[in-house]
Amino acid sequence: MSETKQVELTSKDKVSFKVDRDVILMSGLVKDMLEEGDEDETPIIPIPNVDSKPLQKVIEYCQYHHKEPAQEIEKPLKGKIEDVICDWDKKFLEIDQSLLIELIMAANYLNIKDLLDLTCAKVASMIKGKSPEQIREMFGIENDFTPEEEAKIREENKWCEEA
Amino acid sequence: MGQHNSSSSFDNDDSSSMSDNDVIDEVNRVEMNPFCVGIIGTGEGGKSTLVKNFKSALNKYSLTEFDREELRRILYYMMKNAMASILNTELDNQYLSNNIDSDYEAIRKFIPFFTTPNIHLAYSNRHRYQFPLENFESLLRKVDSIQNLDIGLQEDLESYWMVDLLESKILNGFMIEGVEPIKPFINFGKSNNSSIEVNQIPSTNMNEDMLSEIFKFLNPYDLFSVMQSCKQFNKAANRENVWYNLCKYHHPHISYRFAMKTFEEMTRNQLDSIDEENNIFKVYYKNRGWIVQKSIQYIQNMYLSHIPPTISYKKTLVMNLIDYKETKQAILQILRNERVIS
Repeated sequence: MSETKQVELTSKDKVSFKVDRDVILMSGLVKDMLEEGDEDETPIIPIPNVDSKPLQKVIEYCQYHHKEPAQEIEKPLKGKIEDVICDWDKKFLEIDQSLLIELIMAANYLNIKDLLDLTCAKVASMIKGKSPEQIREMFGIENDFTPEEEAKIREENKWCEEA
Repeated sequence: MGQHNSSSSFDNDDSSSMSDNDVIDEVNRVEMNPFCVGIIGTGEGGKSTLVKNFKSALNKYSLTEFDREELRRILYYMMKNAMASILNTELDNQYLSNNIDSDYEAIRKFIPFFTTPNIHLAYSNRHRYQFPLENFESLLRKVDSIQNLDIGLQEDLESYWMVDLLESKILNGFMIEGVEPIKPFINFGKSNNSSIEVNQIPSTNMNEDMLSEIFKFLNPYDLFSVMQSCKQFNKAANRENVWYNLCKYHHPHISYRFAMKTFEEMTRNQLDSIDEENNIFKVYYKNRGWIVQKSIQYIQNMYLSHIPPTISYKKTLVMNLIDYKETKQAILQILRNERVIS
């Protein structure tokens, strides 16, 4: 029915993107909104939680993957993420860390499972093999445990080291 | 269950008129590698028992002509039964008549039907019926390597014994002493991450939901590090969805109900409990599905409810390996790949 119908997405910072309807239907959120909405020529959908930069990336992802569905990433990751994703995805992930996090939030908000998996697996891949201290450093978080609490967690979960 | 003995349990009788070569010729005539058929099967499916019977059937010094004929008949019967019952769902009963004559020709009749999509589908789902997933792959690798050796029949049988020594192996007849428990859970161990440099990732906006989406991709070893980093991360790493995925990796059939039921069964007499920080899947994983520690009872019950009656032949227990539903489908696929269709 829909012949290259378009949808207009408006980002948090009021930038508009025209996208093919078929492409953006990868987003569960947009899909739901469109199904409810009327048959406008080009419906305008506000995406108030996502800035233009990550939204641009999301659209880029959908444009590629709506025809080329992503392979499911195995959980847990056995090696590095680069070993299990396609070249296009590898290139897609060559972005700075803050954009990566914004993308996770955007994928979560827009309900695009494959993109959420890809970006989350990327971060997981970066966590792999790191010590608690390195993880804190990586995420800029403080150790908010008391020494007793920390000891308790270590004791209770020691088995994980052998699992 | 009864005990099973090796081929030596057969009474000695050298009156056989059929030589090894005759048997080999016959095996060759079947145009398939029967050794591949026997080894593919669910743990406790009776694989090694079948081998023993093959061995016995081939050993002219331990079997009379009558024994051998009888044994062959049983083996053919089992094979035919297996094939027939798979096709049962797709064909009418014309091939499932009360025909007890189970010879090679009877088996042959089924072969053309083995290529149906349903059998494909069942085969692709075979891991659901087999606890240690990793074993199937290693098994197939071993099968390949044996075939590549292209060695004689007797040697094949020897290799077959090697193949049978899988990690998941529990002795047939549930003779469990001295047997290593199965290891359905892979030890992921420490992750190797060559990149030592720590890239800053701002986590300020991330809530536990999103963190747990990330942690889903980690193995227990890395989750352990995550738990120790801070309270929020600890909470997220202990989320049910994180551990659900880990359990699912090993037990694709896992569900909340199944985990809970297993938990209740296994902890009836123990003080182990689920507190608010320990979700059911984490407890399930921690106890490795209770398979390792309590494997014998569990496997016994499980397989006892599935394995059809056994055939007792002289002092050898022949378990009906290929009548075990899920095992059969795997066997069939192997048969197909063996180009049995002439």
